Amino acid sequence: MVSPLTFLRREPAVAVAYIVLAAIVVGWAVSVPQLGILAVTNTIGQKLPIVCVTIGAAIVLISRGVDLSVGATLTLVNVIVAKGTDGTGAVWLWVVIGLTAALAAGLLNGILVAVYRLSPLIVTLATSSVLFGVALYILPIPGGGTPSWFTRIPLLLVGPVPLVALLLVLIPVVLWWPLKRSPFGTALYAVGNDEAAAFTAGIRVRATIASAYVLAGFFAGLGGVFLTMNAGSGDAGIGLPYTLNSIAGAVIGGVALSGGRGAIAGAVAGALIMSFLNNLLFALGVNTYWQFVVTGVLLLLALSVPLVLRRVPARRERTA
Amino acid sequence: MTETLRTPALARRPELVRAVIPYVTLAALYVGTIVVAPGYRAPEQIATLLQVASLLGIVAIGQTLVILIAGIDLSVGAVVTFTNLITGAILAGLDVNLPLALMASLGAGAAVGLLNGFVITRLHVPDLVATLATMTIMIGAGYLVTGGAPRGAASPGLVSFVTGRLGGFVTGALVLWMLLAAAVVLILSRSTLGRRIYAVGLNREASRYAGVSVPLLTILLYTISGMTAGLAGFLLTGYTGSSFLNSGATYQLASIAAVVLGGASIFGGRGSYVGTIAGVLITVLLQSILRVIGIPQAGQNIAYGVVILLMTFVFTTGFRRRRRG
Repeated sequence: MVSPLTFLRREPAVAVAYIVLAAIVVGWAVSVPQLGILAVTNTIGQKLPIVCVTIGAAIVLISRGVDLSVGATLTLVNVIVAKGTDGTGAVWLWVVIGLTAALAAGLLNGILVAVYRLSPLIVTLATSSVLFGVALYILPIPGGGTPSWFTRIPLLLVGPVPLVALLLVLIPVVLWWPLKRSPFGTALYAVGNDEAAAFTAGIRVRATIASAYVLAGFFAGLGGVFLTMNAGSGDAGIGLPYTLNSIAGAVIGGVALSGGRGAIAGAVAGALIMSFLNNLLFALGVNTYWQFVVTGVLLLLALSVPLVLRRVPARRERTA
Repeated sequence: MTETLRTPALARRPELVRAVIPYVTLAALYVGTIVVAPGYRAPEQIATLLQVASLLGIVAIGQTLVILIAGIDLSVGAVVTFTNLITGAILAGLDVNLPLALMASLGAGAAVGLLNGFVITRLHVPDLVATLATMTIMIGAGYLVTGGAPRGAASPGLVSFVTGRLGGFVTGALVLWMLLAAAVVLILSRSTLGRRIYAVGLNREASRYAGVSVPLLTILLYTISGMTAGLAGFLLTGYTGSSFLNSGATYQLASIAAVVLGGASIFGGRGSYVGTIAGVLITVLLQSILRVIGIPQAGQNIAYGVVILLMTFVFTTGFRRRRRG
């Protein structure tokens, strides 16, 4: 077992991310006028979709790929669940159908990238367009509906703790931690670090990469289910910002675009930073349109930090 | 070298295929269309298609150049929207403001392109992620500039330049597109700059050793891409008569689809603007057909995705190069 201290020494970005997150959450808590259990529960519930999507995006980034279709997958599941459930009330059936569609989308990405070795950026950009089109075809205008008990799930309390807060911790711990400790987790980081070396070491490179995209599809789909719980309806235009936000969150949390480095715990913190920053801006009365600008600028900044850090010693050598 | 795990397959004579396929596809699609819908034979209808094509064609100039060096520009749609918004606001229906609106549009486009080029070359951020970030910033900027409520309108001069048809056929925007297209085709096929663009697209390292400043070229081409998108946004205002949010969103994938349909390799170094012209016409015709069928938005998205996937798939079998490194 890796002790928490060793983990933090190996992944300093994770510690930084949680410190920044704590500061933003405190700032938000102070500036919100009425902070009750309901406000907290609601706010945390709104974070579940982006946290799920970011976990998926981060897994693909670690494999040295990128998944631009997670936002569209989330949208598709949202639309399937909302449209299918509307009138029939068979929520769980449509949740399963939605998640199956998400897994299929991930599998398609995985096969195209891992087996046919097409550029992941182009593949997922294209499948994103297709999935978004299918979602629009299913639900041309926002609508659909879910039973009220379904939309009340995020408000449930488990003892004194909101269910959504538990899920926020449980999803990464129960769904990701065992995978990370499994041979797959080791293979994922190995492939992300050096594909050729991993291949030589007997790791099944193609299966590992394909699995990363399937997992991304699954987590994006899970995000879509939680989003439908929050919204209670479907909207084909809802998922667009999730793609960039998930990549930005992962990068801010220390996951490297160049693959093989970073932790899901960091990605979760990164996603929460981006999301709570919007809450903070809103609480401070800043125009909500700034969210777009803040997201883009934060991503560029986070991407340039490791580069600047690496540059400093290099400069010194040159001048010496 | 992971690519050595799989040896390149067939397609040993791809250059000829590349040049011919787009025009054959265009001809087949057009013939198919007039069989189903004879209305598409009318000069009036062709003129309408060309009018729409001229805007996409101008955006596709920048996209072609960027894709030729193995890049991609996802921010073009957001730039079109942004310059559409500021053009409407600056013009406020008056021709006097045309020079200012044009300068502002080109300037905004150039600024975004410069930022893209700088982020990609200096911060070593992958093209797709960098332009995705600037895209998000520009969408936000569009909302901020207008406060979410677009105002202003095109001026009569701009409207007649884009929609007024000389001899029932030729619009000012079409002439402008043809002039720009001729310039791009000449530059790509005859100039040193053109050689360098293909060289960088084919082999970045070798071009660097041959003395080509890859960062400078990258920044230049992204700036051009920003400016052509800015110009298209300016002209779009004349086409729609006013500005609206998300007006340019479709140009993002449409321009990529047009370039890829035109036979350019998404891995750079292969393709030409001559091909892109066919790609633009195919895309516009496809959009029009889907609108007639009644699934404009959903159909377009699915079509773009499938087309980009298929073309990447087909053209990747022949020349496979490492993109990351």
